[in-house]
Amino acid sequence: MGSIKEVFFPSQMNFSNVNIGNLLKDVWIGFLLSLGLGYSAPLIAAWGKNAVGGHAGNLFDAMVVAILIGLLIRMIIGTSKTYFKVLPGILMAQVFFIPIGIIFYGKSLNFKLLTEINPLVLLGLVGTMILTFAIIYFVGRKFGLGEKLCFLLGFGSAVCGASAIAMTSPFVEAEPDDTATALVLNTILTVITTFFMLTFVLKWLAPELYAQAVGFFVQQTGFCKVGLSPLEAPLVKAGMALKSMRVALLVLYIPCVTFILRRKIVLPWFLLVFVAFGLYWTYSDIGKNKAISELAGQIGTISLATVLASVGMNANFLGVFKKLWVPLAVSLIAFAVGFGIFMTII
Amino acid sequence: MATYNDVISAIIKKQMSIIGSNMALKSVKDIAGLTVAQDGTATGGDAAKLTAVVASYEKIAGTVALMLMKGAIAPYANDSGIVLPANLK
Repeated sequence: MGSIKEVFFPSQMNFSNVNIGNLLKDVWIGFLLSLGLGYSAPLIAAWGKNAVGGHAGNLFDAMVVAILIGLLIRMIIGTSKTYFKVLPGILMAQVFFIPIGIIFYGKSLNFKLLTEINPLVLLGLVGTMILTFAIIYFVGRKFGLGEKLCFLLGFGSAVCGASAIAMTSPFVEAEPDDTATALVLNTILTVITTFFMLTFVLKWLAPELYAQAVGFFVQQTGFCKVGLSPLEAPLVKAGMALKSMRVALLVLYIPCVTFILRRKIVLPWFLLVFVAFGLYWTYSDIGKNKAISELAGQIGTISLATVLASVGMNANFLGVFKKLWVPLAVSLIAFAVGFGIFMTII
Repeated sequence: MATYNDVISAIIKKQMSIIGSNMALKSVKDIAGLTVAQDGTATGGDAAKLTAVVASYEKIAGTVALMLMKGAIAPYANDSGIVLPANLK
């Protein structure tokens, strides 16, 4: 039973014999600060999107805003007394909101769309994901990047961007600076790939193939929608189906990575609930209720934004930006090779 | 059978992933007789040094640090050769 518990209920924290009064006293400031930032980030992102408008407005993504605000706050408070006052709550916010964020992320899993994917395209998608992951890992290691950072970069590029990085970092046991580096880098990479798709690839490829290219290579759901925006509705749906499949494969990635790193398979309970939530959302009528759908979306977004803000507050702003360039080059190499193979095969 | 070095290393490695390696290593570098490598592997550990390591991290993040350390040492919790500090039980 012990091993089953370790597979499905891997605990970051052990709550036994904890004095709840002391715990609340330690965590409340940092926890509320993280939650406040997680709540504000989507509002700031929406404001920025409206203010700037057009494709550039999409740079104001809630997750991007959350990590940047977190990094800025940490740059201001440094390692002062204030930092140590908020640190316990920051850590608790990550442990508390990661499962909630992952479960509600299941809303992005549209199983009806997944079943409509052509098996050959699906094979191509899985191949591209494995290739992207492998290139980032091996080239990154060759360039001297740490193993855990390579895993995070690989996850971010192969799966679905910032959310995937936030979800997987506890399982990889990555350092806060590595997680923040991967998150910031993933956003830069996503902006570059989306710009590349819209400016060049849209002209080169037939609309069906362009939708596939976006579904294969663009990270972060918001940017995927931007990349697909010039297309007709059925093709947008096809592109988003591929993106949805990349999200679904998180369920396989996390056990694989924990096995590679620790020779232990971990399939945490909230990943199973994430799939169950996606199934329920797809096949029940609940997803058709606009109010419930919006509420679920907001809970998921605020939870993940809270996690990202707290990761940012726990990282070193200058350290993150200093070590951004080699990983960016590695990720661009992976994109170039993957995209080159895609163009050759089609 | 686990050693004190295993337990201390597990705690330090967990703290490195939570508060970053700089702070995690800096916090325990002054514990006399304990040597910690850059990857968090400890040598020279015993019961007293384990207590000192736990106290260092508890000072940084209080109850949350204790909960994280308990999570990190879970595989060694029932090892008869290790005497855990009272606040880690």
